[in-house]
Amino acid sequence: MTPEPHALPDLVRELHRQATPWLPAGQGTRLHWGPPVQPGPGQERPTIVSTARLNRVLEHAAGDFTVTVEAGLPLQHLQQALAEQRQWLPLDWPWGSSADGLGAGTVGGLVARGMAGGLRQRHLGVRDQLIGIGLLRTDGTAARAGGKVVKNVAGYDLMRLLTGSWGSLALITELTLRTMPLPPQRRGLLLQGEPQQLEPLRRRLLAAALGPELLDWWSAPLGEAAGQPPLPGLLLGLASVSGEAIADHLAAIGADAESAGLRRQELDPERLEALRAVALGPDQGSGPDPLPPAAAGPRTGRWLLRLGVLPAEAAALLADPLLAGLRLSLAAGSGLGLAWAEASQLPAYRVEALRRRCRALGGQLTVLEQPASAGLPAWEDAPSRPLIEAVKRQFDPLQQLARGRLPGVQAS
Amino acid sequence: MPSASPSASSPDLQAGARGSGVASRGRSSFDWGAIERRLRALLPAKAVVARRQELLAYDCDGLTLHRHQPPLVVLPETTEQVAAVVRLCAELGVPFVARGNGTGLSGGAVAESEALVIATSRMRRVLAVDLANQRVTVQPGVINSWVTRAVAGDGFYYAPDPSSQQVCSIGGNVAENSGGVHCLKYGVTSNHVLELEVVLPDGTVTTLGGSLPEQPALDLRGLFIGSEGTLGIATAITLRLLRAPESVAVLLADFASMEAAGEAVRAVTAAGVLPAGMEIMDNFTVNAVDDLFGHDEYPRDAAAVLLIELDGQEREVAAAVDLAGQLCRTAGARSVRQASDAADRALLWKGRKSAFAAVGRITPTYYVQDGVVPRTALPRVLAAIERLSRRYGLPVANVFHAGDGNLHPLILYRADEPGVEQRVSELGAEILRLCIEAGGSITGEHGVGSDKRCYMDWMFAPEDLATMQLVRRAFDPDGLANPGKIFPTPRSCGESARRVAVLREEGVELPQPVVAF
Repeated sequence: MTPEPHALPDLVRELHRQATPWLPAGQGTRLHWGPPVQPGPGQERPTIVSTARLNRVLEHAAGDFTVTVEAGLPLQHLQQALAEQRQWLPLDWPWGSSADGLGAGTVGGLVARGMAGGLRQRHLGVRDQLIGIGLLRTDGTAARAGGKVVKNVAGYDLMRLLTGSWGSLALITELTLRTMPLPPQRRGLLLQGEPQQLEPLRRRLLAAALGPELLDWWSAPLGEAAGQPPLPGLLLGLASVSGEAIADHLAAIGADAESAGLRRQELDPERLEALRAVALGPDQGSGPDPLPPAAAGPRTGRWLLRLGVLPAEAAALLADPLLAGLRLSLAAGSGLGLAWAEASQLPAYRVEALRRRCRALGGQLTVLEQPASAGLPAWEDAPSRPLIEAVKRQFDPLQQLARGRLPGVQAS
Repeated sequence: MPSASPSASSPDLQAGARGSGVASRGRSSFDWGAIERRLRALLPAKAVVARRQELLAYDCDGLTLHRHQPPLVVLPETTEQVAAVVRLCAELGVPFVARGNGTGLSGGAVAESEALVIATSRMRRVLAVDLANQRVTVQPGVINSWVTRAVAGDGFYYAPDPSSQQVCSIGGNVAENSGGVHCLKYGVTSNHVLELEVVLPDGTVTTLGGSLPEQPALDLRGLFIGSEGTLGIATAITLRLLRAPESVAVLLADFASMEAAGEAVRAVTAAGVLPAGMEIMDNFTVNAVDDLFGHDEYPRDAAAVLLIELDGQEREVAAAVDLAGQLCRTAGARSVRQASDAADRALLWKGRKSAFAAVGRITPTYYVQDGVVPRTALPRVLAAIERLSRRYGLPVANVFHAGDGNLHPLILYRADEPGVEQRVSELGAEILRLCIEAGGSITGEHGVGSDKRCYMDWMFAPEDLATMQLVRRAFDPDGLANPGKIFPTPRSCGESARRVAVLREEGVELPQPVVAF
C-alpha cells in the first residue's frame, strides 16, 4: 500500500484495529535484505506500507546546515537538492545503487537499515547525522524526538533507537539531518599489493596528520572487477580546503608505497568516484522497483554479506582463503564492510565459517542476501536480546511490524 | 560548557512547587536501617556512607540550590557490587540514583525523593587500552581528562571535552551525553562510545553496542547515552580514541555587530572549513574581561569577539587560517589576530577562559542557562535576550558555542536581593522560550535533570513524551532508576502548569500539558 500522507495515520490505525502484520517501507528497493518477514495468519505475504508518497524536502536550512525531509524522499533527490546549495549529506550510496545514486532508495530506508560505508572514516555513520525524527507508532500515534538543531540533549535519543531498527518499531515519517558543505578539494589513491604489505600503509594513513575521508580495503576480485590487477588493495580518499596539503600527502605516501613495492595509482575526483561505484556492486540503477512481489523475503541467487572485524584484524581477514572469490570493500578505520558473490561461487558452509572467523577477529557477520535454499540466520542474538524484546513489546505490543525481523534477535 | 564553578549557583526554578528538601524530610517509606544492614552484607565497610555529615557531600550537584540529602550512599568499586546493590533495590522496591562526580548542572544526580545514591566515584580503573584499534575501556568513575592522559604519550586523545573535564567522570558524561568546546568538529559523547556494560534496573548486567560502531542489533547503546541515569548504570565504557592533531591555530576577530559575527560563522562553515571550535563573547563579557585584565584586551565597543580554533595537518591549517581570516574581514571584522604556537594561542584564549571569572567579579552569583538555537537565529535571539535583560533589570552575559548555536547566557544577580531568585528563574525560562520559538532546544549539553523537566512539555507534545516513556518502561518497568527526572509530572510541575496558563493567555501556542504516566 502506498497511501497519500494524509491517509497514513488512519490506515495504520485500521491495521492496528485488525492486528494485521505489516512492514514499513520506502520504495521497497532493499526490503528483501535481512531475515525474511513472516506474513500473518491467512496472509500470503506481509502487507507493505510504503512512504513513497511522503517525498518532500520540508526545509533545507542551508545557513544552519540542516535539512528536514519526509522519509519517502529518494536519497538521490535529497543529494541533488543539497548539491544546488553546495552541500551534501556525507553518506555513501547504499550497495546496489548506481554511481549517480539511482536505485539508492529513500532516506527513511537508509536510516532504517542504519548502515554507513567508507565515508564513516571522516563523517561517522547514519545515526550520527540524524538530529530529529518523526514516526508513526503501530497504534497510529504520531510522535517526534530530537529537533532541528545540531546539539540537543532534551529527551531520549529515539533517533538512534530507530536507526538500524529495520522497520521493527515504528514507521519513520520525517527526518532532520545535519548537512555538510561539499569539500573544496578531493583526490584519491589506489594502492595494491599483498595484505601484509598494505597493513603498514593502512596504519600510517590512518595516523596521518591529514586524515583520510575514506580508506577502504579491497579484495583482489573487487580490484579485478574495477579493471585493475587482481590484487588486494587500499582505496584512499582525501578531502581538504588545501589542494597543496593533499598533494604533499600523496607524494609522501607515494614514496612509502614505492619502497614497499606496492602498485599505486593516483585518482582525480571522477576516477575516485568511478572506483567507489564499483564497490556498490553490480549496477542495479534501472530505477526503483516499486515494491517487487517477493519483497521482504529472499529472492536472489546471490550472497550479500555485511561483515566486520576489529580494524587491526582486517589484513588477516583479507588474507584468509575463506574470502576467495568474494568481492569485498571494508572500511579500514571502522572494520565494517560488504562482501558479495554469486550463489554458485559460495557454498553456505563457507559463509558459516566466515561468520565464525569474523567473530574470532572481534566482529560479526550479517547476511543481507542469500540464495533461497541457504537458510542461514541473517543475524544472531545480541547479548541484550531480552532488553531488545522488551523495547519491541512496548513499541509494538501486537507484534505487527516486520515479524521475524528484529535486530539483535535471531529468527527461530 | 560551564563548569561547576564554586561561584555559579542557580535559583530553585520550581521553588514554589517543590520547596527544597521537602521530600527527604517527609515520613520515611523505607526502613533505611534495615537497608543499610543488607548493604553492609554486600559491600566492604567503607563502601556504605550513612553518617549525616558525610552524606552532606551528596546533597547537590553543580546546581547548588537544589539540595536534598540522601538517606544512604554506596560507593561500589566493581560491576558485581553495583549489580548486587541494584538487585537489592529491585527486591525491596527502593529507588536509586546513579551519581558520578556530581559536577552536573541540571540536578540530575540528586536524590530528590527517598532513594539510594550509588556513586561510581571509586570505580576509577582503566580496564583496557587497545591502541591498535584506537579504543580504551574504563570504569565509569574515571575522570574525563585521565583518558587522554593515559594515551597522550602515544599520540591519541579522547575528544569530548566538557569544561569540567578535570573533575567530571566518564560515567557522568555518558549519562548526560556531554559535549564541549570541540564538539563542533568531533561530536559529543554519543559519537565516541562503542560499547557499554550496563547494570539494568533489575540488577542484571548486559552489554549494549559492541566492538564495532554498527551492530546487527537495536542501538540501545545510543539510546542509553544521554538517558540521565533513568535506564540503568553504565559500569564499563569503551571509548573511541582519535589521533592528536599535528597543528592547531587560533584566530580572533572583533565585530561591530553580532549580525556580522554571525555572518562570519556562517561563511567559514559554508566554505568547507570545519573549525574544531567557534566561540563568541558579547559586548558585556568583553568589557568584563577588559575590567578584569586592567587593560583593553579587546576593543570595548566590540559587539562580538569571535574565536575560531582550527586543527589538522600543518599546511591545511595554514590554508584554513587564511581563508577564515579573509571571510571574517569580508563579514566586517574590524581586526583579526591569529596565533599558531602554544603560548600565543593561550593568549588569545585567555580572555575567553577568564570570562566566567570576569563576570563573577561584577556580581558574586550567576545562573548559567543552556539553550540551543539554529545558528542563523543567533543574532536575533541574542538581541531578544538583551531586551529581556533590560526588562528584568538583570545583566546577562553571553559566552557561547557559535558553531552549533549552543547558548550559555549567564544571568547575574545578588543573592541577598529579596525576591531576586524568582526573577532570575523567570528570565531563565523566558530565554528557553526564545530558544524554542527559534526552533531550538531547552538544553544542548547540560541535560534536563530536575532543573528543566517542567519545560519538556514546551518542546515536546504529550505523544512525544509518551513515546519516550515506552523506552523507560522497557528498561525500568518499576521506575526505580533516578525517578522523577527528565519527564514532567503534575507533582513536580504544578508551577509549570501555571506558567503555561499565563503563556496561553498571551496567545502563545503550546502543546497540551502532559498527562501523568
